[in-house]
Amino acid sequence: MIRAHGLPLAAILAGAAALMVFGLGSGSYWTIVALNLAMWIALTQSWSLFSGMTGYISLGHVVAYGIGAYVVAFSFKIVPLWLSIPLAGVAAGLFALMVALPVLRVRGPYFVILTFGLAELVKYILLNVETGLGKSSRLLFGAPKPDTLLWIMVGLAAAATVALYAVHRSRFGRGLDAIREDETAAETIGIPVVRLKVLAYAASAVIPGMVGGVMALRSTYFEVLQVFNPTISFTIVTIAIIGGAGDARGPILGALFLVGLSEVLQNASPQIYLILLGLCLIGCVLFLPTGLVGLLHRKGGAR
Amino acid sequence: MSSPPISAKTTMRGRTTMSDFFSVRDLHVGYDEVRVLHGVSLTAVEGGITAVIGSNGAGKSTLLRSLCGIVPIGSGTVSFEGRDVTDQSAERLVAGGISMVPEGRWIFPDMTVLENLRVGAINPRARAVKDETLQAVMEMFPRLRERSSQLGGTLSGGEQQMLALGRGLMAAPKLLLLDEPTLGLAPGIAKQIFKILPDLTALGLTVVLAEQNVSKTLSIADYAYVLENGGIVLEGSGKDLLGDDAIRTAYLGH
Repeated sequence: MIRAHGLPLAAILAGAAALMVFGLGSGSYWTIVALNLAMWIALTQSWSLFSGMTGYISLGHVVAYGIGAYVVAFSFKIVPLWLSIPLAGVAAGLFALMVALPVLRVRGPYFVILTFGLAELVKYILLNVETGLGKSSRLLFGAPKPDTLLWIMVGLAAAATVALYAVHRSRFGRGLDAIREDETAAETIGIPVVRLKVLAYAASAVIPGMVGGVMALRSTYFEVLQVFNPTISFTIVTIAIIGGAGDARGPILGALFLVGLSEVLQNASPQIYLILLGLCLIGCVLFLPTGLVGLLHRKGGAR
Repeated sequence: MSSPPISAKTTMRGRTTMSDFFSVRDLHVGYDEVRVLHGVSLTAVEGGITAVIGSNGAGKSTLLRSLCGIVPIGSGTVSFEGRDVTDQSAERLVAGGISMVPEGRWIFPDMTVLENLRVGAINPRARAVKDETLQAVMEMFPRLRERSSQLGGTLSGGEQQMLALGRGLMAAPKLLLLDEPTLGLAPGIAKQIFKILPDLTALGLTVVLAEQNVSKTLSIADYAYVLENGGIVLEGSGKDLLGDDAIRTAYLGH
C-alpha cells in the first residue's frame, strides 16, 4: 500500500502557481482548461479523503457539488459570493453529516449503489422544488469572470490537496487506514470507527460543495439536471483509478491525464476519446492497480 | 498418569486473588434467532490467567467478542474494576483498559509491522505511554523489531500472532482477552506463544484466554472454566481440572 509519500507543501504551492500562470497567461481558452483541471483535482482529492482512505467507494459525490451549486445559485445577488461559496461548502458538509449514519451502515457494492441512488434522489427532489417554485433554470447575470473564478478554484484544489496530505499524516488518517484494511479489527482495537467514517464522509463533501458553487458561476446559469449529472461522480472515480488514490499526487496525475486526453480528443473525435478512456481504465485496473502514482513509486524503488 | 503436570504458575497463584476486577454474571448472547450463550458467569483471576476451554462451537469466541464490545450482549452484566461496563462500545472498553486479541489475528495486512503496532495505541491513555509500550513489545518479540518495516500480510502465521498480541498490548490494557492465540499455528510456534503468556501476567496484566489446546492451557491457567453448548459445565484451578476425570476423557483422550 502506498501512503504518506505525499507532496511537500512547497510543491503544492508551486503547482498551484504554475496553474495560475498557465491559466491567466495563455488566453481565455486556456483559462477554462486550467479551471477544469483545478476543478477535477479539487473534487478527486476530496473524494480520496473519504473513499481512498476508507475503501468505501462513493459513486455519488456529485451530490455535494449539486447542493453547493444550488446554494450559490439560490442565494445569488442576495448573499455576497465571499459568503455564499463557503456556505455552499457548509451546506454540502452538513448534508453529508446528516445522511452519513444511515448511509455508512452498508459496505462494498451496496454502499456504491446507495451513494449513487442518494445523489439521484436529491437531484429529483430539488428538481421538483424548483418546478414548484416555477423555475426551470436560473440565470446568474453578472457572475465573476473566469479569471477570478480560476483563483478560487486553484485555491480549492490546493486546499483539498493539503487536506488530503495532512490527513495521510495524522492519527485520523491512520484510523481511516485501519478501517479500510479491516473494519472489525479496527473496532476491536478501540478505533472509533463510526465517528471517523462520519467525519471523513462529511469532510470530503465540503470542498466539492464549494466547487459546485464556483462552477455554477462559471456556467452563468443553474440547472438541476446539469449540476447533479452523475457523469461528474463517474469522472471523479475514473480520475482516482487512473491516477491512483494512494497519495495526494494520484488525483493530480489522473486529472492531468484526463483533462489532457479530453483536450486532445474530445472535440476532434468524442467516440475515440471515450474508447481510449475505457481502455485506459481497464488497463489501469489490470496492470496499474495503484494508478499512475504507482509508477512513481516503482521508479523510486519505494515499497 | 496419576499426577498431573505441575502448574507453571504455582508460585504465582500465591499472590493472585479472586476479586471483582473483572467478572461476568449470567451472560446471554445470541445472533438474531440463534442463542449462543445462556447464562455464563465467570470471574477473572486478577493478575493471573483465567482460561475458558471448550470445543469448537461451544461459544468461546462469542463470549470474548461480547466482552470486548463487538457482539451485543443480550442480558447479564459485565463488571470491570467495580464498574458496570455491560453495554459499552469497543472503543470505550479499550480506552478503559480491556484489549482483545481476536481469533484469526485480524492484523492489517497492508500496513507495516510498525504501523500495525502504532495504530493499536489509538486510545488517549495508550498514546501517553506509546513509546515505552512499543519498546516493551519489541523486547518481548524481537522478531517484530527485525520485521518492523515489513508489511503485516507478509509475516508468517506465528509472527502475525505475535503482531496481534503486540498490537493488543499497545493499547496499554489492564485486561487482555486472547481468543485462540495458537489456532492454526505449527506446534513449535504454539509452544512459544504458551511460553510468552505467563510473562504477560508478570507485567501486571490480567489475561482471559480462550483455547482449544486443553492440556497446554490448563498447565498455565490459574483458574479455568469449561464451556459447553453455551454454558459453563465445570470450573476449577488449572491443576485440578488437569486431574479431573471428566476433562481427561472428554478433552485429553485418556
